[in-house]
Amino acid sequence: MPTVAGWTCRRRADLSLRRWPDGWVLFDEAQGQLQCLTLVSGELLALLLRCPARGYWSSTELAQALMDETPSDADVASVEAVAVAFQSMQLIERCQV
Amino acid sequence: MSQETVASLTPVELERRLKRDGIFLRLPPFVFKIQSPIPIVAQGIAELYADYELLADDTEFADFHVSVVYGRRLPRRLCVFELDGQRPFTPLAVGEAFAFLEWGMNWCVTGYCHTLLTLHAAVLERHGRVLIMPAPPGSGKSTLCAALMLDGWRLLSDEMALLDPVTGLVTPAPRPVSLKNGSIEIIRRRAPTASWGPTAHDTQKGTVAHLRASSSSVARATEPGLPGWVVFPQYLADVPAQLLPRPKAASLMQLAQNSFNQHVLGKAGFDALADVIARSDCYDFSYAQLDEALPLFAALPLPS
Repeated sequence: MPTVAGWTCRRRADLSLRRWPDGWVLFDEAQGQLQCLTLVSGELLALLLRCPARGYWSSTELAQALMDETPSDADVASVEAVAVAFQSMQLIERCQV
Repeated sequence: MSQETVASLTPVELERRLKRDGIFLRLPPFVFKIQSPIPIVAQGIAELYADYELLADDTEFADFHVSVVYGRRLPRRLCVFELDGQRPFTPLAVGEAFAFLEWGMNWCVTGYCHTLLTLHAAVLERHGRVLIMPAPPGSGKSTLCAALMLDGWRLLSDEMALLDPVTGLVTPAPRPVSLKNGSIEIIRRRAPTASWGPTAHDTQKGTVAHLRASSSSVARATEPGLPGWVVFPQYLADVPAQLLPRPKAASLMQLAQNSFNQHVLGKAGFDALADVIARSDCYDFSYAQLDEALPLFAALPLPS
């Protein structure tokens, strides 16, 4: 069986999000930090905070949920890039399934 | 029985009580016990806190016990601020003693009051909605605040917004408006009969004087208000007064930067700030002339 990479957020209890017309604001209670996010990045993180029952999202699923249609390879790559950025901020983790 | 106020005491009696055991002064929403042997402190309290309630000498609780005293082993021209006997600041000239008391009391609130979210901002109210003006020193915040108060807005505070994270309402803390340098004369010209405290010269901030809070603001000091506008003021020489809508996410970030203790309150603090932004119309405001500024504030539409 191939290993599938997915994304999961284990720090949901730490993170609060508010959406405004000009973007999202994220509060990370554990770090005591506020971050401004673009509308797309904020939508993506909001999805990640609503973890599906199986415990992770694939990049393709995230792109599809974000766009509400079948994503192109470029769309998936864009989502992957934002997810990697979130990973570097220690907001989410990559998981092997 | 009517309550005793500072005005109930003769200047001599006030000075005597301040010098001996101190006074319990209700500065809503707090009670301060204040002690000082320095005459200029008594003068400032008599002039600026005449309408405020004095509590009985046997009052058992005060939120803060503060004093401004001549420093032991210091030249008598210097004074120190004490909180519970501790001296958090370096001594200042005796001529700055009243301003020192004001700064010290602000510091007590912002440093120790964490049941409320505190923001560095001027706060006023009109038609039941609260105007919050967060800004760094030098932005013209206090000058604008004084002018708005003299124009009929209710003063909640010149220095700090006290936001209740449970109710979302702003708690008033009306005290004298601190003005500096050229702003003093500008406001004196607009209100020739207004009451002022002692003028402190050559402070780190330049010349400082405090303008008495309006009696109507003090009378309504226990009425909290619902946030309605968040305005980020900036004094800029030679520009026409301009009020421009500001995006809300950016406003929330800026508001948080002006908070003293949002990090202490954690998620409750974040939610309280975000709720302020959700309820409020947000603007950037630049001005050079108060005569241009006041009509723009008078015409602010009530937020939906």
